[in-house]
Amino acid sequence: MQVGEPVAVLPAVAPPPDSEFAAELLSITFKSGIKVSHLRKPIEGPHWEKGEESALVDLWSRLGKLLNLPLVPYSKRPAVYLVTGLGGPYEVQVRLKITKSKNVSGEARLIGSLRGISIEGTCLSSVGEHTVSACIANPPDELHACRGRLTWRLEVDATPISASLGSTFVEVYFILGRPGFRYRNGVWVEVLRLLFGRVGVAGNDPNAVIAAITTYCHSGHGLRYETHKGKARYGVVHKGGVFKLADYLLKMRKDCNCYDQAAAVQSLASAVGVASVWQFLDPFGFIRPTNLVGVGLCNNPFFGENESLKLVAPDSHRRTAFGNHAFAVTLDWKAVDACAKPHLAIETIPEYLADSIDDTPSLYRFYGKFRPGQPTDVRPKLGVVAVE
Amino acid sequence: MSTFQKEKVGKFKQAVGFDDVPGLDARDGVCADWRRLPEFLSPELGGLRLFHHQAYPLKTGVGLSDWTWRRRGKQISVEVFVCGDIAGARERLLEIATDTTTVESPLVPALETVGELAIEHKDRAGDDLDWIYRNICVSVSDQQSGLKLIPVARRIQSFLAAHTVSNLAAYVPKVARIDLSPGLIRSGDTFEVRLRFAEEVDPDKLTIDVRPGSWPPLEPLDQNGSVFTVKALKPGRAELEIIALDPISLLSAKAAVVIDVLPAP
Repeated sequence: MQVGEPVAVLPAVAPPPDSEFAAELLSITFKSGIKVSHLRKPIEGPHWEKGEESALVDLWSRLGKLLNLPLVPYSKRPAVYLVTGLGGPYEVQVRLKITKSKNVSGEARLIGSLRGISIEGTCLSSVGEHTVSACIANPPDELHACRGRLTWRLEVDATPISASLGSTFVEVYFILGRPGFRYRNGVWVEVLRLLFGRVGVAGNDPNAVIAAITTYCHSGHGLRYETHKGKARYGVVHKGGVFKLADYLLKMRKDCNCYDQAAAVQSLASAVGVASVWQFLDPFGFIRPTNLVGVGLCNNPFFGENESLKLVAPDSHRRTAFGNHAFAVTLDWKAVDACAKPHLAIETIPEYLADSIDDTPSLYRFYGKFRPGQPTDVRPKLGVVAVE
Repeated sequence: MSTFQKEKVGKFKQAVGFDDVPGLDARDGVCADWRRLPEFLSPELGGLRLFHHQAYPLKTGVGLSDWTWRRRGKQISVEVFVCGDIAGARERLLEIATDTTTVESPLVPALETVGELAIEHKDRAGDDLDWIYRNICVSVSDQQSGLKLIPVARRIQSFLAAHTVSNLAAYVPKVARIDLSPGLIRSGDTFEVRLRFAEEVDPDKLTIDVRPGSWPPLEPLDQNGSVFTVKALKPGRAELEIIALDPISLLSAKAAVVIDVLPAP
């Protein structure tokens, strides 16, 4: 169609005279089968109820401020669905009450819409309470956050007549897979808010998503490598374990090590359904100059407090090495590491190790059996088993 | 454990006299209500305020309670690892000292004695202290609080000593039996794990959980009381850690079940 070309506009069909149709919403329950938690407590439906909306708004000021998130209203009862193509379910149960239905016959079509997402279902158009088993008609095929007012209307095509049901405040996320056993009591909505609101996860490529998370953990979260003891600060050990995710989000400790960073990447990625495998390399060796988390360019990770020693001459006797190292790989076995550089799901394990480890033989001559790590030394480990 | 890690652990043990610490076969241990520790500790905290606290099962046989007190950028953190036996506490101290990314453990015996064995960083900056006492391992650290850690540690130690019971095993909840159904499990199967307790144990009063203990993991899907639905993801030998923890004393016994997952037909 060209600009200026005439357009035929069909007049809206007027409802028959002396007809009346009115309805109101009673409750909305998102039934995705994915558990969600708010402040560590599992969220039970309904996700919206008539007369309860003021209690639903989660101003979230303290935690939101600590996470540097915009202080806009959130919902205390968010919901999470899978993106399209993963089998759903995409059910939304809506309870409504038709309060007037005069000279109206036929089935009523319930339509809810928010930012391109439509929820559709049908019910009788007679006066009374109805439970509509609606579904999300067009779930997105990529990560998506829907927060705001979902507008609802009922349409009766046969009559034809429609009724506005107003709008309801909702917070719904679409993710790439089930969050899994790490979030058995429900994926933390606080994590989803961080990922969508600050980390900027987007699209449907798991490697791109985990790369965005890795970049954030390395360069955006604000922790610094623990340069004294190489000790994990957030509960995990070399093979994973229980990760103190709440502490990590709140930066309860200013420093971290590679176990913490691998755990953070794995836990945050899990929250949007992106799987990864924890890898452990022992021995590791001296590092090539790299951007160590919170430190900057460094080839001497255990320089303690003396900043002038973070980058020393390659053969300096003060140069320290990593005894071992934990990182993660994607399901196509690409390395992700938020501890150094960062490494963003581009390299294979041998490529990643070649880029990271300084294997100059003379560096190891005073270290007994200690040697540079090889790809064959890498072992998959359990990883994060739970988040606290 | 790799040969490098074995060497690191061996050197640390030798440096601190780990295997010479007496009392491994003692029957007494600490059984405390950890909710009372903050109040008991407050005289030593110099006006810092409790900012954060959590308690949860760290792994099978180990409960963790941690607290952070904070004020104007100053912070003290205390972690208490409560084990079902003395060996568990020693294992945890060893983990703190050697499960690090350094080539060798930088931890050495602390200058000030607390508990049965106390260790600190070799630079002796006084900003961290870890020690064991019976079935308990404690980790105290300081971020610019300006407070001395030793009085805090000694106060905690006096709390431990005051809550020592003569027969620790009697206070540790135990799982009597673990039933798997079906008995033959193939990759891709979901199966049921049912924890059974002795008559005198009320499972409703315990924090009960199962967690994967090896890779590739067994994936716990659902829980109904002491019955769990678990999925076998890959063939091979897999371990499932069993947790039955008293939420007050944080005591629990170490338990696990090993399952041979057969290939899918």
